[in-house]
Amino acid sequence: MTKYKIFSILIILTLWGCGNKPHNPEKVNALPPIFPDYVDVTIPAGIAPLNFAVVSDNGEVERVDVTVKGADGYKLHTNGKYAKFDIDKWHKLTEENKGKTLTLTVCAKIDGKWIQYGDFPINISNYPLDQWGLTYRRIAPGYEVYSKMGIYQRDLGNFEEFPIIENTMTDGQCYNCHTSNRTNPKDFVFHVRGEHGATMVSKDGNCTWLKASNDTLGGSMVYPYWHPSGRYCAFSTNQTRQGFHISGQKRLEVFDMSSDVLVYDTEKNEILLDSLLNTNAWSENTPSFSPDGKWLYFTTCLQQEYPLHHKDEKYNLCRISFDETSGRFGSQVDTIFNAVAMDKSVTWPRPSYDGKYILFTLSDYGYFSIWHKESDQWILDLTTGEARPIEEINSSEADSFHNWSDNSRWMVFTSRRQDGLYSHLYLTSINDNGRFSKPFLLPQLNPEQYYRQSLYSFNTPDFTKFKVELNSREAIDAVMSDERIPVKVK
Amino acid sequence: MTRKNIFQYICPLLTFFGIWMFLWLMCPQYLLYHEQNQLFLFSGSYFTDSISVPGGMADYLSEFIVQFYYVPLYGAMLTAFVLTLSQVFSGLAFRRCDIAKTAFPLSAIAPLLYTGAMSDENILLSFAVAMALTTLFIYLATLPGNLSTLTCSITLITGFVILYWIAGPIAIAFVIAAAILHRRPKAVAICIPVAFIIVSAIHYTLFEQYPLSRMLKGLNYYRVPEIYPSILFVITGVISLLPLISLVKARPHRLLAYASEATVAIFAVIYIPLSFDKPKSDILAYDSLVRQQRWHDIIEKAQKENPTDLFSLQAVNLALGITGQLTEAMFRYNQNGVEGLIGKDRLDNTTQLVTAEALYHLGLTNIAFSTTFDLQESIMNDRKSGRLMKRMAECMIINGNYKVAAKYIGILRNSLFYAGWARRAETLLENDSAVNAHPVYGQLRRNAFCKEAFYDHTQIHKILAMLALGNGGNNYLAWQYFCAASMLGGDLATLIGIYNSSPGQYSKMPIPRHVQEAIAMYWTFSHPTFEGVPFPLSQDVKQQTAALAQAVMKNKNNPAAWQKAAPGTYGLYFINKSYYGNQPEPSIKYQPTHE
Repeated sequence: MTKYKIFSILIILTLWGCGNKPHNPEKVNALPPIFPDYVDVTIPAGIAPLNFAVVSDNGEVERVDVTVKGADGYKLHTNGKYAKFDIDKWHKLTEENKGKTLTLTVCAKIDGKWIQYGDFPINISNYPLDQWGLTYRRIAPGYEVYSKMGIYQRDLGNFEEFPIIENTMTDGQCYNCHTSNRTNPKDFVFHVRGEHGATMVSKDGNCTWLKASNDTLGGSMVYPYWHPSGRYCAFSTNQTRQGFHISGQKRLEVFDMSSDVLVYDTEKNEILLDSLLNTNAWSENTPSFSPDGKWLYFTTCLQQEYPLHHKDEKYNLCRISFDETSGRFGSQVDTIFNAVAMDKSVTWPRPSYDGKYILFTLSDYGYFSIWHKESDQWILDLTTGEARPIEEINSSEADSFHNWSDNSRWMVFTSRRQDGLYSHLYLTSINDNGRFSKPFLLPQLNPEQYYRQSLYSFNTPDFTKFKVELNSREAIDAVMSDERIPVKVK
Repeated sequence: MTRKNIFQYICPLLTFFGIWMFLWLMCPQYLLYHEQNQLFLFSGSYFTDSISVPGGMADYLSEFIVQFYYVPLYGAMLTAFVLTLSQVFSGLAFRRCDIAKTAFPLSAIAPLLYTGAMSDENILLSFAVAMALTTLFIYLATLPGNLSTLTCSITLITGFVILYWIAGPIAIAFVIAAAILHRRPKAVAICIPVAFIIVSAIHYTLFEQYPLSRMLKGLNYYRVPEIYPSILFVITGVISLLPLISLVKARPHRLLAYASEATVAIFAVIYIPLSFDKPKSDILAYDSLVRQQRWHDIIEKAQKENPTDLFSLQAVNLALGITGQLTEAMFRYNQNGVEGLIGKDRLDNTTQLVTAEALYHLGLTNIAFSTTFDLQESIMNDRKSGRLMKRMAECMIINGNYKVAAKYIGILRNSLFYAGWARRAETLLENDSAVNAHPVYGQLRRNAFCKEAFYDHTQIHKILAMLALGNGGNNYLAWQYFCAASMLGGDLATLIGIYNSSPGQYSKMPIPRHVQEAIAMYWTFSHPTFEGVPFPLSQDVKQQTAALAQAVMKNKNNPAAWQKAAPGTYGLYFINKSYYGNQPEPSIKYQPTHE
């Protein structure tokens, strides 16, 4: 009797097991409908596995069977509710196939019937990522209030995410504008908004908590960008307002009643101002330094009457020279991309660290591009002076903030292409000809569940060379203590 | 059956039925409020996320139960069951002590205290579940019989660690109560410092994102972080120290029995009803009626007692508007400026609820969405809301943002009470003709604001005018709101100007009573009689307005005389406002939220 039971169980298990593996699948001449869309993307070796789900409108996907073949024939296989790859084996496969292509064969059991889709490639880039991971702010894309939010870091080699600072620690503060110096978090800055406001400047792990709002400036220091020397950090100071669209597909507008650009000298605890960056008639905004530190890029727009003329808020991309020894600015502002002539507006200039390009976002007006469906990624080639929309990565929804990897071969940017409201992170690489690869959504362990259920937006992403080591206990104490260092204005 | 045995059966039954009936019949609005501040999902990630923090199992179980608050009858029953469990387990823990058996009714004190504490709408059921789990552990700790101090301490520490993880810091009550029942006072002295060290270690190693104080007071016993009402300390103290009665050596059981019965009776009959604050109960009641779209019940409630706060007033005005009576009957109630129609921004999770409903029904879908979104974001313990998420999905369907709607609908499909709606709503996605044909969504889509403009509360009457007159002038609710806002704001010139321009279908309707009163009022500013007034005013309105004018002239400082001359009229509101300004602000102040 016992033998009979064991035999029956074995038969059942065998049949069950057989049912979970493709058996004479029907071959269809179509690419698999997968989420995220990883078909023909280019990824760096060593990145977290590109797990995905098969999504079908034709029935319930009961099982997914995926085989990944490397150029040398090494195979990786997974079978489950969704394609979930072993991290170590995935790393091995991608490391061994640098500069080559992986071929994925996907079978899906839909309503009890196995279907085999056409194979698709995933390209492994020759360019290393050379970054530990990403930093980003995660927050619900709200309007005037927010619940849990924080600045987080994500190991790009796996799926681990760590909070750098969260508002659960400190009585619901808002944290924003975090930036490291050329992806190196030894120089790190972020802003604390609200009751315990501050600007935190960390150099080699030593944190300085500056007064959030400077009386001379009349505002707080936001949108930071480090000088490559690590001595200076550029900010803008903005009198920001919001307007809520009553109707249509637009939700809100952000406009500044005034804004200026300034540079903070971390050694002297001084703010460097210049009349060319602090004009009354113009709003200077979103600064960034060139990789050699000799130029300060910024955007500028003729001040308008808001909210009445918010559609006339159009920014050009300009630059001014900067001498790091004296801390002085040049006497001339150059317009290096005239967006106004195109009846457009430029924002978030980010020079590549190799000095070849400037990445920016272009939209119809304004600078808070994430709320502009039409906003796109553009690139300016500094050797030719030509700018072009990066059509190979843009979408019909907002494609907004971005940053380069340290080697200027990879780029991370925010996009609302999934649904038009929630921003997610996409990575892409640039080749020697200045063309970008098809972007891929930041991998997650169970991406369909994660992205479909997540009610958060990812914003202001940046690469980070190392894990950010912020002593959160000291940070909490510092935030709550309200002890702030005032900043002098030179 | 002896008297003391009867107590052991009857007491829990009385507690259960008493609490069930009280919660169901007397305060269903509190249950609905709790339900709308969370969204329980049947998903693996929801479960793992919940149980990955101290007290997470209690949170998970409580949120499972709170979803049934959607139907207050069931929700009240389950809550009563949980609270009764804690009484039963307490009683079982005393089973070996004769005197404790006689004092069995005292085991109901903690559940009854909690029932009274539910008058604070931010005290979460998680604490009640944690109470039940703690009393279960206390009972289990009494099973082994006599233990040495060392064995007792080890047992208590082990139990504390497990209980702390599943129920949170109320686990300390288990340590104290179990040590008392084992008559091992030294174990308390050993275990409490060890428990503190354990909690600190858990905090420092795993949960740096929370302040230590929250780890010690509970992450989810109270909706507002960093606040811990004293009643929760009291209940923890009662659970901890109630076992002291087992130490009583005296034998006057009958006296003790009567005393314990009396104590419980006092709690049940006096303490609990008195703990519930009427103004707050009324606000929550209005909110629940608006949520259930019981418009006639709202009006009936207001007729019994005039609303005295803006929140309730907005609910009454919305009900009057939806039933087509706003411009006929609104001044029968205490009006209070335009804010009594649509509130300004208040960054908490309650005061804008009715405003969000009004914005939605008016057809200001974008603003309804953003207001609802922020309402959800302002839930202080970072939970989501089934009610609000459903409304957000509705807004997105109306606006044609189907992908965002699909996201919310996909989440709601994992719930119990919103799944049915989500399945039906799914058929509308990417299907414009189905949405257009929908009796509610189609109409709201047709009512949408046509021009590109920013929302500005100070210009609300202009927005309402454009909303009412746009799209062929079919938005009668907006038309009523426009008239009401003009009257409340004193902008009679605009109101009369628009009436003069014969706006669409509204000009073919009889002029509403209150608008007639406003016109009559406006006319009397510059005319001695009603002769020549260019609108068909009723004789009654003319007489009342004239009587009011006379009453004001004769009795300048006697509002009672004005009231007598023209009760429930716009004229009376206008005169009162001119003399005394607006009525007071809402009496209930909610906790500020993340701003």
